[in-house]
Amino acid sequence: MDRFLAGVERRAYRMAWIATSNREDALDIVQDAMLRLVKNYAGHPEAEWGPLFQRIVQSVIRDWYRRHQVRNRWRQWLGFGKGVADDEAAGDPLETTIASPAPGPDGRLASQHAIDALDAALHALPLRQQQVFLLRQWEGLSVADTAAAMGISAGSVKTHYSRAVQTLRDKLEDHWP
Amino acid sequence: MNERQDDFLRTTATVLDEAEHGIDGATRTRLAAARREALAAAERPRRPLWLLPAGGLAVVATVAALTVGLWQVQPVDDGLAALEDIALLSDEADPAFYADLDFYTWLADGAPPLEDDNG
Repeated sequence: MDRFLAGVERRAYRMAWIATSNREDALDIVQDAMLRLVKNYAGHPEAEWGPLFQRIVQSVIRDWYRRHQVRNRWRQWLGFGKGVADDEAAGDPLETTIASPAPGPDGRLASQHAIDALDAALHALPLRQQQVFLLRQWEGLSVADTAAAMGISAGSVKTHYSRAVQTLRDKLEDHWP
Repeated sequence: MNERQDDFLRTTATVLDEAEHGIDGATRTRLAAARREALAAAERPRRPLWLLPAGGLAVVATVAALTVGLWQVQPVDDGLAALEDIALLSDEADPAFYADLDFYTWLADGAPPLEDDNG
Protein backbone atom coordinates (compact mmCIF):
# COMPACT_ATOMS: atom_id res chain seq x y z
CA MET A 1 0.00 0.00 0.00
CA ASP A 2 2.84 2.38 0.83
CA ARG A 3 4.38 1.84 -2.59
CA PHE A 4 1.05 2.29 -4.33
CA LEU A 5 0.34 5.57 -2.53
CA ALA A 6 3.85 6.85 -3.18
CA GLY A 7 3.19 6.30 -6.88
CA VAL A 8 -0.08 8.22 -7.02
CA GLU A 9 0.22 10.91 -4.36
CA ARG A 10 1.85 13.60 -6.51
CA ARG A 11 -0.73 13.39 -9.26
CA ALA A 12 -3.52 13.43 -6.68
CA TYR A 13 -1.91 16.48 -5.09
CA ARG A 14 -1.80 18.29 -8.43
CA MET A 15 -5.49 17.57 -9.03
CA ALA A 16 -6.34 18.85 -5.56
CA TRP A 17 -4.12 21.88 -6.06
CA ILE A 18 -5.85 22.76 -9.32
CA ALA A 19 -9.23 22.52 -7.58
CA THR A 20 -8.27 24.48 -4.47
CA SER A 21 -5.32 26.72 -5.42
CA ASN A 22 -4.19 26.16 -1.85
CA ARG A 23 -1.28 23.97 -0.83
CA GLU A 24 -2.53 23.10 2.65
CA ASP A 25 -6.02 22.26 1.44
CA ALA A 26 -4.57 20.15 -1.37
CA LEU A 27 -2.35 18.26 1.08
CA ASP A 28 -5.32 17.70 3.40
CA ILE A 29 -7.36 16.32 0.52
CA VAL A 30 -4.64 13.87 -0.48
CA GLN A 31 -4.10 12.72 3.11
CA ASP A 32 -7.85 12.29 3.65
CA ALA A 33 -8.15 10.27 0.44
CA MET A 34 -5.19 8.08 1.37
CA LEU A 35 -6.66 7.49 4.83
CA ARG A 36 -10.03 6.46 3.41
CA LEU A 37 -8.41 4.10 0.94
CA VAL A 38 -6.22 2.46 3.58
CA LYS A 39 -9.01 2.20 6.16
CA ASN A 40 -11.64 0.80 3.85
CA TYR A 41 -9.90 -0.96 0.99
CA ALA A 42 -6.45 -2.12 2.08
CA GLY A 43 -7.74 -5.69 2.00
CA HIS A 44 -8.98 -5.43 -1.57
CA PRO A 45 -6.90 -6.73 -4.50
CA GLU A 46 -4.18 -4.28 -5.47
CA ALA A 47 -5.60 -3.97 -8.98
CA GLU A 48 -8.67 -2.26 -7.51
CA TRP A 49 -6.75 0.38 -5.56
CA GLY A 50 -6.19 2.68 -8.53
CA PRO A 51 -9.85 3.12 -9.55
CA LEU A 52 -10.93 3.25 -5.89
CA PHE A 53 -8.37 5.93 -5.09
CA GLN A 54 -9.45 8.00 -8.09
CA ARG A 55 -13.04 7.80 -6.96
CA ILE A 56 -12.18 8.77 -3.40
CA VAL A 57 -9.97 11.69 -4.45
CA GLN A 58 -12.70 13.13 -6.67
CA SER A 59 -15.25 12.69 -3.89
CA VAL A 60 -13.03 14.41 -1.30
CA ILE A 61 -12.40 17.29 -3.71
CA ARG A 62 -16.15 17.73 -4.20
CA ASP A 63 -16.66 17.65 -0.42
CA TRP A 64 -14.00 20.33 -0.03
CA TYR A 65 -15.66 22.41 -2.74
CA ARG A 66 -19.06 22.26 -1.04
CA ARG A 67 -17.60 23.20 2.34
CA HIS A 68 -15.68 26.04 0.72
CA GLN A 69 -18.88 27.38 -0.84
CA VAL A 70 -20.73 27.16 2.47
CA ARG A 71 -17.95 28.95 4.34
CA ASN A 72 -17.98 31.73 1.76
CA ARG A 73 -21.75 32.07 2.08
CA TRP A 74 -21.58 32.27 5.85
CA ARG A 75 -18.76 34.80 5.75
CA GLN A 76 -20.85 36.98 3.49
CA TRP A 77 -23.89 36.65 5.74
CA LEU A 78 -21.84 37.51 8.77
CA GLY A 79 -20.34 40.45 6.97
CA PHE A 80 -16.68 39.66 7.41
CA GLY A 81 -13.94 37.96 5.49
CA LYS A 82 -13.70 37.44 1.79
CA GLY A 83 -16.44 35.69 -0.11
CA VAL A 84 -16.82 34.29 -3.57
CA ALA A 85 -18.10 37.61 -4.85
CA ASP A 86 -14.88 39.25 -3.68
CA ASP A 87 -12.83 36.58 -5.40
CA GLU A 88 -14.70 37.23 -8.62
CA ALA A 89 -14.38 40.97 -8.23
CA ALA A 90 -10.64 40.59 -7.85
CA GLY A 91 -10.50 39.52 -11.48
CA ASP A 92 -9.94 36.39 -13.47
CA PRO A 93 -6.65 34.81 -12.38
CA LEU A 94 -6.21 33.50 -15.90
CA GLU A 95 -6.17 37.01 -17.29
CA THR A 96 -3.43 37.90 -14.83
CA THR A 97 -1.41 34.82 -15.67
CA ILE A 98 -1.64 35.20 -19.41
CA ALA A 99 -0.84 38.87 -19.10
CA SER A 100 2.40 38.11 -17.27
CA PRO A 101 5.67 38.78 -19.08
CA ALA A 102 6.38 36.67 -22.12
CA PRO A 103 8.72 33.73 -21.47
CA GLY A 104 12.35 34.37 -22.17
CA PRO A 105 14.93 32.06 -23.69
CA ASP A 106 15.04 30.05 -20.48
CA GLY A 107 13.09 26.88 -21.23
CA ARG A 108 12.19 26.38 -17.59
CA LEU A 109 10.59 29.80 -17.44
CA ALA A 110 8.57 29.06 -20.57
CA SER A 111 7.48 25.79 -19.06
CA GLN A 112 6.47 27.42 -15.78
CA HIS A 113 4.52 30.03 -17.69
CA ALA A 114 2.59 27.27 -19.50
CA ILE A 115 1.96 25.45 -16.21
CA ASP A 116 0.67 28.61 -14.53
CA ALA A 117 -1.59 29.44 -17.47
CA LEU A 118 -3.02 25.91 -17.62
CA ASP A 119 -3.50 25.77 -13.85
CA ALA A 120 -5.39 29.05 -13.91
CA ALA A 121 -7.55 28.01 -16.85
CA LEU A 122 -8.37 24.66 -15.25
CA HIS A 123 -9.10 26.28 -11.89
CA ALA A 124 -11.54 28.65 -13.59
CA LEU A 125 -13.56 25.75 -15.02
CA PRO A 126 -16.65 24.51 -13.19
CA LEU A 127 -15.52 21.74 -10.87
CA ARG A 128 -17.20 18.92 -12.82
CA GLN A 129 -15.60 19.99 -16.09
CA GLN A 130 -12.25 20.31 -14.39
CA GLN A 131 -12.45 16.82 -12.88
CA VAL A 132 -13.69 15.18 -16.06
CA PHE A 133 -11.01 16.85 -18.16
CA LEU A 134 -8.19 15.77 -15.84
CA LEU A 135 -9.44 12.20 -15.58
CA ARG A 136 -9.96 11.83 -19.32
CA GLN A 137 -7.03 13.77 -20.66
CA TRP A 138 -4.38 13.35 -17.98
CA GLU A 139 -5.23 10.05 -16.31
CA GLY A 140 -6.29 8.61 -19.65
CA LEU A 141 -9.49 7.10 -18.28
CA SER A 142 -12.18 5.97 -20.69
CA VAL A 143 -15.59 7.63 -20.70
CA ALA A 144 -17.00 4.67 -18.75
CA ASP A 145 -14.19 4.69 -16.18
CA THR A 146 -14.48 8.44 -15.75
CA ALA A 147 -18.21 8.10 -15.24
CA ALA A 148 -17.59 5.44 -12.59
CA ALA A 149 -14.96 7.55 -10.83
CA MET A 150 -17.23 10.59 -10.81
CA GLY A 151 -20.52 8.84 -10.11
CA ILE A 152 -22.17 10.44 -13.14
CA SER A 153 -23.48 9.16 -16.47
CA ALA A 154 -21.35 8.60 -19.56
CA GLY A 155 -23.39 11.25 -21.35
CA SER A 156 -22.56 13.79 -18.68
CA VAL A 157 -18.88 12.93 -18.95
CA LYS A 158 -18.95 13.61 -22.70
CA THR A 159 -20.76 16.90 -22.23
CA HIS A 160 -18.45 18.14 -19.45
CA TYR A 161 -15.37 17.07 -21.39
CA SER A 162 -16.47 18.75 -24.58
CA ARG A 163 -17.23 22.01 -22.78
CA ALA A 164 -13.96 21.90 -20.88
CA VAL A 165 -11.92 21.35 -24.04
CA GLN A 166 -13.69 24.17 -25.84
CA THR A 167 -13.17 26.60 -22.96
CA LEU A 168 -9.53 25.68 -22.54
CA ARG A 169 -8.83 26.02 -26.25
CA ASP A 170 -10.52 29.40 -26.34
CA LYS A 171 -8.46 30.61 -23.42
CA LEU A 172 -5.10 28.99 -24.03
CA GLU A 173 -4.56 27.89 -27.60
CA ASP A 174 -3.22 31.21 -28.80
CA HIS A 175 -0.95 31.52 -25.77
CA TRP A 176 0.85 28.19 -25.78
CA PRO A 177 4.59 28.44 -26.24
CA MET B 1 -9.61 21.31 -36.71
CA ASN B 2 -9.29 17.88 -35.10
CA GLU B 3 -5.57 17.88 -35.66
CA ARG B 4 -5.26 21.25 -33.92
CA GLN B 5 -7.35 19.96 -31.05
CA ASP B 6 -5.22 16.82 -30.78
CA ASP B 7 -2.07 18.96 -30.67
CA PHE B 8 -3.62 21.15 -28.03
CA LEU B 9 -4.63 18.17 -25.90
CA ARG B 10 -1.18 16.59 -26.22
CA THR B 11 0.34 19.84 -25.05
CA THR B 12 -1.94 20.03 -22.02
CA ALA B 13 -0.97 16.48 -21.01
CA THR B 14 2.71 17.34 -21.39
CA VAL B 15 2.35 20.50 -19.33
CA LEU B 16 0.47 18.60 -16.61
CA ASP B 17 3.22 15.97 -16.53
CA GLU B 18 5.86 18.67 -16.24
CA ALA B 19 3.99 20.26 -13.38
CA GLU B 20 3.77 16.93 -11.57
CA HIS B 21 7.49 16.30 -11.99
CA GLY B 22 8.24 19.83 -10.90
CA ILE B 23 6.57 19.57 -7.49
CA ASP B 24 9.02 21.08 -5.02
CA GLY B 25 10.93 19.10 -2.44
CA ALA B 26 9.10 20.58 0.53
CA THR B 27 5.74 19.51 -0.86
CA ARG B 28 7.06 16.05 -1.68
CA THR B 29 8.23 15.74 1.91
CA ARG B 30 4.80 16.82 3.16
CA LEU B 31 3.14 14.27 0.88
CA ALA B 32 5.36 11.51 2.20
CA ALA B 33 4.52 12.57 5.76
CA ALA B 34 0.81 12.60 4.92
CA ARG B 35 1.13 9.10 3.51
CA ARG B 36 2.89 7.82 6.62
CA GLU B 37 0.26 9.48 8.79
CA ALA B 38 -2.58 7.91 6.77
CA LEU B 39 -0.99 4.47 7.02
CA ALA B 40 -0.39 4.89 10.76
CA ALA B 41 -3.88 6.27 11.44
CA ALA B 42 -5.46 3.29 9.74
CA GLU B 43 -3.72 1.07 12.27
CA ARG B 44 -5.21 2.92 15.22
CA PRO B 45 -8.53 1.66 16.64
CA ARG B 46 -11.61 3.75 15.85
CA ARG B 47 -13.04 5.95 18.59
CA PRO B 48 -16.46 4.84 19.81
CA LEU B 49 -19.33 7.14 18.92
CA TRP B 50 -20.01 8.04 22.56
CA LEU B 51 -16.54 9.51 22.80
CA LEU B 52 -17.41 12.29 20.33
CA PRO B 53 -15.63 15.23 21.97
CA ALA B 54 -17.63 17.76 23.90
CA GLY B 55 -15.89 20.46 21.88
CA GLY B 56 -17.33 19.00 18.72
CA LEU B 57 -20.84 19.02 20.13
CA ALA B 58 -20.34 22.62 21.23
CA VAL B 59 -19.42 23.58 17.66
CA VAL B 60 -22.53 21.86 16.32
CA ALA B 61 -24.71 23.63 18.89
CA THR B 62 -23.14 27.01 18.11
CA VAL B 63 -23.61 26.60 14.37
CA ALA B 64 -27.23 25.51 14.88
CA ALA B 65 -27.96 28.51 17.12
CA LEU B 66 -26.30 30.85 14.62
CA THR B 67 -28.38 29.37 11.80
CA VAL B 68 -31.63 29.94 13.65
CA GLY B 69 -30.60 33.52 14.48
CA LEU B 70 -29.59 34.32 10.94
CA TRP B 71 -32.70 32.70 9.58
CA GLN B 72 -34.77 35.26 11.40
CA VAL B 73 -32.72 38.11 9.97
CA GLN B 74 -32.28 36.76 6.46
CA PRO B 75 -34.32 33.68 5.51
CA VAL B 76 -32.44 31.11 3.52
CA ASP B 77 -33.83 30.20 0.09
CA ASP B 78 -34.22 26.57 0.94
CA GLY B 79 -34.67 25.24 4.45
CA LEU B 80 -32.68 22.17 3.57
CA ALA B 81 -29.74 24.32 2.53
CA ALA B 82 -29.33 25.59 6.09
CA LEU B 83 -29.41 22.06 7.45
CA GLU B 84 -26.80 21.03 4.91
CA ASP B 85 -24.70 23.99 6.00
CA ILE B 86 -24.84 22.77 9.58
CA ALA B 87 -23.78 19.31 8.52
CA LEU B 88 -20.92 20.64 6.42
CA LEU B 89 -19.65 23.13 8.96
CA SER B 90 -19.94 20.75 11.87
CA ASP B 91 -17.81 18.42 9.78
CA GLU B 92 -14.89 20.16 11.41
CA ALA B 93 -15.99 19.19 14.91
CA ASP B 94 -14.60 15.70 14.44
CA PRO B 95 -13.35 15.26 10.88
CA ALA B 96 -12.59 11.56 11.16
CA PHE B 97 -16.03 10.67 12.47
CA TYR B 98 -18.01 12.75 10.03
CA ALA B 99 -15.76 11.95 7.09
CA ASP B 100 -16.37 8.27 7.64
CA LEU B 101 -20.08 8.87 7.96
CA ASP B 102 -20.10 10.75 4.66
CA PHE B 103 -18.09 8.01 3.05
CA TYR B 104 -20.37 5.21 4.21
CA THR B 105 -23.40 7.15 3.03
CA TRP B 106 -21.72 7.68 -0.30
CA LEU B 107 -20.91 3.99 -0.58
CA ALA B 108 -24.40 2.95 0.46
CA ASP B 109 -25.87 5.23 -2.19
CA GLY B 110 -23.66 3.72 -4.85
CA ALA B 111 -22.20 7.18 -5.56
CA PRO B 112 -25.34 8.64 -7.16
CA PRO B 113 -25.05 11.35 -9.81
CA LEU B 114 -24.38 14.81 -8.35
CA GLU B 115 -25.12 16.98 -11.33
CA ASP B 116 -26.33 20.03 -9.51
CA ASP B 117 -23.36 21.22 -7.51
CA ASN B 118 -21.29 22.73 -10.26
CA GLY B 119 -20.95 22.45 -14.00
